[in-house]
Amino acid sequence: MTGITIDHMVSLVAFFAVTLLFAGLFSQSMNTAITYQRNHQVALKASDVLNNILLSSGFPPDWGQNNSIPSAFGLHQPETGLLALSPFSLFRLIYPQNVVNYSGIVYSNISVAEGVSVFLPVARYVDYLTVSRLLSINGSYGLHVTIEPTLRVSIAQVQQYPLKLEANVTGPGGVCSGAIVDCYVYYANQSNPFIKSANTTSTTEANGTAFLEFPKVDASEVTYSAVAQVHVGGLRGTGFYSSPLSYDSFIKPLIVDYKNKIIALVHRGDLLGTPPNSVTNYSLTYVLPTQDYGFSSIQIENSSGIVKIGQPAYVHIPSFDPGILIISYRTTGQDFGTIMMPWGVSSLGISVDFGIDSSTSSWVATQLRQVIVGQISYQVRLALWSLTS
Amino acid sequence: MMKTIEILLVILILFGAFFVTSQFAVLPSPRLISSPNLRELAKTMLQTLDVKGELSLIAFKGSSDPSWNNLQNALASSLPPNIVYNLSVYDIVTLPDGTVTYSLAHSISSNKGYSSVDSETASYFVTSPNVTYTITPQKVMKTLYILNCSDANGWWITGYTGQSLASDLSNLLSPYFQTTILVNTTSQLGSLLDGKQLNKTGEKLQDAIIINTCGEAVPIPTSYANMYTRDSYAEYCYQLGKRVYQYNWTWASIVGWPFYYVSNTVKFSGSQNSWGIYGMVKVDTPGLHAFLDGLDNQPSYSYGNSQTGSPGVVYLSSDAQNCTNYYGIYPEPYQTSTRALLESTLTTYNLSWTSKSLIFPETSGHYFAGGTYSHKASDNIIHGSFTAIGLTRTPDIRITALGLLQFYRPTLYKSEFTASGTSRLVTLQLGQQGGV
Repeated sequence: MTGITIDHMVSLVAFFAVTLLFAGLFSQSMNTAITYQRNHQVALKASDVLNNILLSSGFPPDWGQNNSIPSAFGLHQPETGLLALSPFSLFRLIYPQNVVNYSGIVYSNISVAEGVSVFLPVARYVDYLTVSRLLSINGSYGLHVTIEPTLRVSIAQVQQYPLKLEANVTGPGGVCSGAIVDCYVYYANQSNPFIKSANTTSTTEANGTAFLEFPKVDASEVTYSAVAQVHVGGLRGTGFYSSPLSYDSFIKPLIVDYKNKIIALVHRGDLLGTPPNSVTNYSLTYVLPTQDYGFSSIQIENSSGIVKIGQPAYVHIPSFDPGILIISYRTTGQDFGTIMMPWGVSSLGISVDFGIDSSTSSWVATQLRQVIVGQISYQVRLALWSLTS
Repeated sequence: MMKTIEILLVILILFGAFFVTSQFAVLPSPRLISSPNLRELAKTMLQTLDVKGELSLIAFKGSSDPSWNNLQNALASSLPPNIVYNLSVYDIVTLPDGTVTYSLAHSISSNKGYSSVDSETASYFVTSPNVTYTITPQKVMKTLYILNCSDANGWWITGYTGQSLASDLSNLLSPYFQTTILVNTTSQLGSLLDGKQLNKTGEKLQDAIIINTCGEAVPIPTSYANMYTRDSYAEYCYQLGKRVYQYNWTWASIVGWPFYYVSNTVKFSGSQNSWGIYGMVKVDTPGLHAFLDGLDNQPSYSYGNSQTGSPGVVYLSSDAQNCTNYYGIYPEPYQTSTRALLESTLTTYNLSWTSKSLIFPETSGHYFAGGTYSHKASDNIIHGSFTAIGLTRTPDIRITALGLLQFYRPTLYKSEFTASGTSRLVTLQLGQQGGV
């Protein structure tokens, strides 16, 4: 009798133990499968969202070139067949920073480097909430998009006379050798802001470095801005360098009328309200990248003049082709400098980082594409994650 | 004991069930779920490399050409370090029996162990840059008259003569029009104004296009110079406008302020335009006003002044830019306009335009630097058009040619290209290293 009871008890214990074990094994398999399925769906969604962003221009298609809030979102450059993005739609995605008030309008100071900046009206910023709503992912998915030049070109001065610059070209995969660097220097005497130019070409060595020498330019006597175009095997990049200013830039370029392409050159005192308030003489040129990897300079109206406190100068940019406004100035207080204003993100290879932080998410799907922004090769990296699971 | 054996059997069944279920519940590999879409990346990479035709150029180079190193550098530096690649170029050969074969021409890759990695591939066709296509333009079924008057001088065409511009325009535009006729004297122009054709094959006076190559001056036939003399021949400009309206012509002015002077080197041999050009009389601003009055079918000539504006640097409209690519005419996209028509002028004279008839878009100050404006009367039917290029001297006649092609839009028929050995297939295979 006792033996039967023990047999029953052992059987029962073994049965329950094994049932629990296999229930655990089955549920683990099920959980893993469900997680895989969810992640797979997020990955598919990421590809889908990225295609939507890159292949659609949004509505209105030229929303990057005016002040309207788009009713459909997309970054594709209208009237181009390739995977080309609008340099001006991207401008509207740059998060406002260092805001200032001028004539009742709040501007964001997009400072790329010393002496390289542009002031954009904050009201033109298209925020994350708007974009996520237009992409129909608001509340269900988180998004982060990084759009950056494929080739990064950093330029530094290594010698004053003759002016010698060092350009370093790298990509996500490492240094880029064999790249041809076309560099243009726009310079002005420290005593006279009239702009002259010089250019030279070099090729990057095995370490991705190229040296560019300008025999007629003495950096100790001039103030200058250098812009370079780099190309290798079909890829194209751009870089810049601006000589140090004697003081904070006295001229601040504000985009006051986007649709009509009007830039106000405003005295720093008007924005900051602090001295020095010296009258500033300026001279400017508008520079466009050319098909043959160089730059061409275009003289535009008001290409020289005076900027005072309360008396800005106005400049009309001729077109929505990405270019660079190069302004050389000298104040009555003997300060001088050359500054640059990018017109469109691609002209100086500006990166755009848009979206929310993904670090709290357990699983993030990423996608990568190669695109063209205003003739420059860019990479778009999208991260998407689920907000519901 | 029996119960224990039964339980062991149950365990066996459960284990069997789990084993069988596991066989059917196959989970995808983690990489398949989370990896970037390599095919899309490869495709966009190939498109980017060929955006300036560089990939097409390299794909036809010999395998020892240094440009392959540049391509390899571009791939190596632009792809993330964990992505390996293999780019292969295949020659496409069509055999005599019509079979198409692909033979490997050249290949570059990031590492030798590449084949062992899971990968995705995108393909892309390239055409040799040496290939030429045959293009046959559609003929616009109209007659193009180009004023080539040997007895008239031009103004604001410094560096050219009316005759040299006429020759260039004829070369540029004659493939697109059914008939192109050079009007060689002012008396021939007089015949046209009298409604008489010049008896050339295929000529049709109605709906014709007339290009005035004399810039701000317009040739005047002697007979018209004797008849229409009021206000320094502004009355003649009115008559021109009337003819444009009557015959539904398109009158093209290539530069500057239209109808500012009249020219006839015989009739005005002793007169000069105040700038030392003889054979010319200054009409001044009433010329354009009179022409537009005529084009607007005003019943009689009346004196009045016209206005133009100076918007400065203007840029080709997006439609004109498309036409530059389509027709292969590439003038400088930036031009300076100092004689642009005002919007108010166009509306006053019932001249209408569309975005596809404007060479330069309307400026912020409401100026029109160049375009073709059609006169529509109350019946909403076009009675004459006016192409006015209000740019500063010296003229680029490619702008005029572009404007007319943009307005009439003849189609280009491109020949189908099927020659063997001139296309290659490029494949880019990408794989991701690391992980499962």
